[in-house]
Amino acid sequence: MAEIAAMSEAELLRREREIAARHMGHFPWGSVIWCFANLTCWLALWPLVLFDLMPLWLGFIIATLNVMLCYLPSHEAQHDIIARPGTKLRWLNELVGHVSTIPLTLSYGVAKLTHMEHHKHANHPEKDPDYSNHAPSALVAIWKSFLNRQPGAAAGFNRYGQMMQEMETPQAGQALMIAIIYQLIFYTFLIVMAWSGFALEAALLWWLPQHIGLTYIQFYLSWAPHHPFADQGRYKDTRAWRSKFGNILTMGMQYHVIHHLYPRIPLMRTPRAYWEMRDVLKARDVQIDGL
Amino acid sequence: MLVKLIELIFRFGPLVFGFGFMAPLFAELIARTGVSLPFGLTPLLAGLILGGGLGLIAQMRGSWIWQK
Repeated sequence: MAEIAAMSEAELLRREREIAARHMGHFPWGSVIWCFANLTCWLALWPLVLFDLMPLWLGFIIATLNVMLCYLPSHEAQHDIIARPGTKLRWLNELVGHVSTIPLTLSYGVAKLTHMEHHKHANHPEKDPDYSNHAPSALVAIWKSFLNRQPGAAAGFNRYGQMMQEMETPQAGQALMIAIIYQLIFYTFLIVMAWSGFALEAALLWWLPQHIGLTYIQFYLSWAPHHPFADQGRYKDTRAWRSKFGNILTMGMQYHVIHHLYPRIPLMRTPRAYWEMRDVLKARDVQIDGL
Repeated sequence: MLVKLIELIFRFGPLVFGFGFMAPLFAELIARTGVSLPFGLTPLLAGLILGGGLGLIAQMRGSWIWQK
């Protein structure tokens, strides 16, 4: 630590980049398998429950877990971690990006464009699409997640749609169009299932898991690592924190600061990168809460 | 024409969802739990009143819950 304290700004940055470089460029097998295993599991629930091979209550629990787990593989794709543009496996990157979030009914284009804005403007009240997740406490954050998705709310996914329109680019227009198609398919499916005598199945395998899963994702991927959403800047907009629920239940978000500093480090390597970089982060005065 | 129709569906989203999904969901819940209904209401009619009513309130208030 004494060695770090004596380092100049340029030396600190060099040390930080050396550590980051060791963790970038690795193919995230875990996330790719995770994407397809999770989606297959969720799709399999439908015939299993509809043909009475699995009780609905069990299907509901598994479906909720599936929705909670579906975002992060797409997140790896959003940052081109699986394959960069123009490389041989680019199709896999895009495939994971598109299919992973189907249970969440979040389109890849909207997720990617808004997420890039989040990285550019993290914690900015107007420019960060996820700023509406800020809340003074964990309980308020959970409640706010539900408030933000009300039809008249100007936050959450509604804010995403508004941002797509404000961007006025062909990519944003296309992303918005696909998002609308996603929503139409989702609601048409729910309504058709409901009027065919499978309302409870549709509610407990998709509609309710989607609400619970979205709250979980917004809590752990947005509120917790950016709390208190007060500061902006490379070393100020994200914190490292220790959760009593551990690393897996918080989906690796204790180390989210590493992701904001080096977005191309795969999720499963962020803990190791954090522990190697911790002294540098402390020297940078990064908010470290018990980790 | 199609764009206008989609816009209309989204503008009246809560109402569509209330009648389209919540109503049969309530009807199925009532039928499965065997709750006895007043005035000779059938589960479907009760579902339409409950689901459609909630959808109407959400449509007017811009929120499905008491807080906005």
